[in-house]
Amino acid sequence: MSAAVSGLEAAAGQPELGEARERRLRRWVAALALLPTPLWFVGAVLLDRGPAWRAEYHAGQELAGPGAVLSERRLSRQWDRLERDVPGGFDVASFSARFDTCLQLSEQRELPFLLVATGAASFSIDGQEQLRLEASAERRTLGKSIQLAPGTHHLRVEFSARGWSGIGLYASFDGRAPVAVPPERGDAGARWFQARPGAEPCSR
Amino acid sequence: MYWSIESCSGIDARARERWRRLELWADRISLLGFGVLALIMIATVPDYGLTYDEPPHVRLGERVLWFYTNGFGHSNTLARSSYGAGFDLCAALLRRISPWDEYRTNHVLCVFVAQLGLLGTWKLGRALAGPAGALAALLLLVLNPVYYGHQFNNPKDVPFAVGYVWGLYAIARLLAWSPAPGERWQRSVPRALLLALTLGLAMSVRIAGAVLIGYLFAFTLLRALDAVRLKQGLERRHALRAAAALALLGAAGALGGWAVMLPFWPGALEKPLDKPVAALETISNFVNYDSPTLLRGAHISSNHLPWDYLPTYFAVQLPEGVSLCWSLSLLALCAHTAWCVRRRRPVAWLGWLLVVATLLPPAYAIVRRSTLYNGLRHFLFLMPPISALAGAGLTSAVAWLTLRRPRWALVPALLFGLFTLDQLRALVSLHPFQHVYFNRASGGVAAAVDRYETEYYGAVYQQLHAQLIERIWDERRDSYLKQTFSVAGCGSKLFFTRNLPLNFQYTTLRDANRADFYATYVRDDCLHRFRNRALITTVEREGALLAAARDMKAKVGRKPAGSSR
Repeated sequence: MSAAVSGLEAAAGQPELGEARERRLRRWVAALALLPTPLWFVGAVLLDRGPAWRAEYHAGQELAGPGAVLSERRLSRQWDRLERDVPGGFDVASFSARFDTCLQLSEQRELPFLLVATGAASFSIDGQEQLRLEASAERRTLGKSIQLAPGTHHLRVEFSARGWSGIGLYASFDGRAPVAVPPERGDAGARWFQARPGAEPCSR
Repeated sequence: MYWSIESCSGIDARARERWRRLELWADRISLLGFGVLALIMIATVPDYGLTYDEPPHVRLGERVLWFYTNGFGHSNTLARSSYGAGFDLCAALLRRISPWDEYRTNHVLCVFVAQLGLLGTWKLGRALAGPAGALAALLLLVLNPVYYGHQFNNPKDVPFAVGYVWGLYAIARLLAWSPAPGERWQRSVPRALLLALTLGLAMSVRIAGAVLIGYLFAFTLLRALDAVRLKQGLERRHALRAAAALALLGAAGALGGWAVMLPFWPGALEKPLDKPVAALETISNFVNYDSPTLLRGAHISSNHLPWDYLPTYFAVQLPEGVSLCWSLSLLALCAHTAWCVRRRRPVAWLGWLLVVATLLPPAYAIVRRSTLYNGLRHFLFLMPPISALAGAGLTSAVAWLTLRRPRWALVPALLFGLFTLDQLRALVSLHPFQHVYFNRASGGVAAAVDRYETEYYGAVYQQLHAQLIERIWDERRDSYLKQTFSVAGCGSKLFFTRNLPLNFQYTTLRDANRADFYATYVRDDCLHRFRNRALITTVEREGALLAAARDMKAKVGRKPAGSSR
């Protein structure tokens, strides 16, 4: 390659300049072609605020006994033949889980929330139950618009599985259809962060 | 093209200077092009949806990672796999730190690997035809919508294409190399390492990459025979010694490549020779999978295809400009080779390497009557060398005219400019489903949609489902807040479970009559079903209907013949 290029450079009477230019060009091209994507990825990793949900999985349907605690990004999960692993290695047909997150609002908002579950589930905000789905082997959906005052709110979803199950909490922040909480599309007036165990899960 | 410049006699210094200036501009445009392209690709990643090839590759990557992190525990699935996990293992590792879900992370890695492929094509074009050839190769590849679209969400064919083009570039570098008498062997180590790495990475995605080893030795032999033809006495001995050194280096590179491949393929670690050979046999005669595929409007078993299946898809899906330039290049190469033979000059083997690299694999598939489906998807790896060779053809024409008839050089340059604008229009209007592109000569995607494989990959479901959800949310707000909707459709269940919220529950096609909605892509004539139900939303590109969602509870008009199977 360089021989071919330097052949033409030599014809112009600048062989050494040609070699140096060629090396410099190759470096620049490689940098422009290959660096932006890794830099963008690293930037996204560094700027990432981390998963918003604290999830606690237990064997059986009582949310009791030793559990597996982990962080999850979005609350929209279903278990089936392809996806049968429950965190903690619990039986996929009989387990329970509690999901906690914190939402900080800069102003008063009325937000439509949607709870979907195969199994039994409840959704509460600041300890007050908002939506409840009784145990069922069929997938059920329940939603409503909820007024939220400015400040920090503790969102909790409790779930117990029956057979192939699923649990999801969705909300609409921009008037469009509800998406899994927290929404991927950013919202300047809402901030999400992970709840901590204890009596004041959203205190900072 | 260097072989045509070489054969231009009696060219004055001013003409050469003119060409040199043009090459400087080609380099500047290449730099700008890479930068702009990187930004566009990054910005558009979220537009590309999940494809049906991705879930098995995500699982394979996780299994291989599990193999290494759990004491090399073997699973039968891993042992049976006919594919290495070069891409999938990297994606699995990336998922451990990624802020996105597994498929978005896959797409980001796809984009990075694709950019590596664009760079490889540029370098191969440069080796073949200098700076102008490099720019032409890059543009012809980027302006090829089928390849462009696959770069974002194809975890197998594009990574293999990238390994293939870099493998060809490593071979090209070796073929251009001639060790000086007494040259220290250490100087050739970088070449051998590049060869090993590229061969290994190509084979770690698909074992068919082993064909590169065959090219390497065949062209080393041809170069040696050429030296015997041209040189005599001491010079001939030197040339033969150089060819022997090249062969040794090639052997070291091939062995190194095998070693690079094995860690990505746990199934082959136990049987490093038998397993790859068995995999090659399996994938070239993949009779376990028999799916009807479309050709000229007829549904044909993928195991019993006419010989012209692949040539037809290349004819209708390659942009005309690429086909024309590739043909021009082949003609120029033949003319140059005849000139070399007459004038006792070395033959441009690099050009022939690319001709073989683009013709041999499809010829093998045709002769072996290999199982094929999804149009030319499995042969996307031919696109980078086709573009490099086509770029050389275009550069050849422009260079020949620039050096002899400068004013006439504007004609191909202008035609290429028009072609570029037209292809850019196609890339924009098909976005993000560029993979459904059909060229103008074939009538475009609107004419092809019922006659050929267009949206076979399932990427369209992301947009279709987003539109369906928004429509239901806007028009049936009350139901949305208390009802679980059932949705039937064609293709993988994952298209539905990954793209829809849980209040839209997937139901099998068998139960579609009882479902609330029928949302489907165009594949397998699925759009022809339930045409007597009200249309809710569609996804169209360039006049072709690629996907549609229907309300199964709302019948419209009389049932058209042939619907609702």
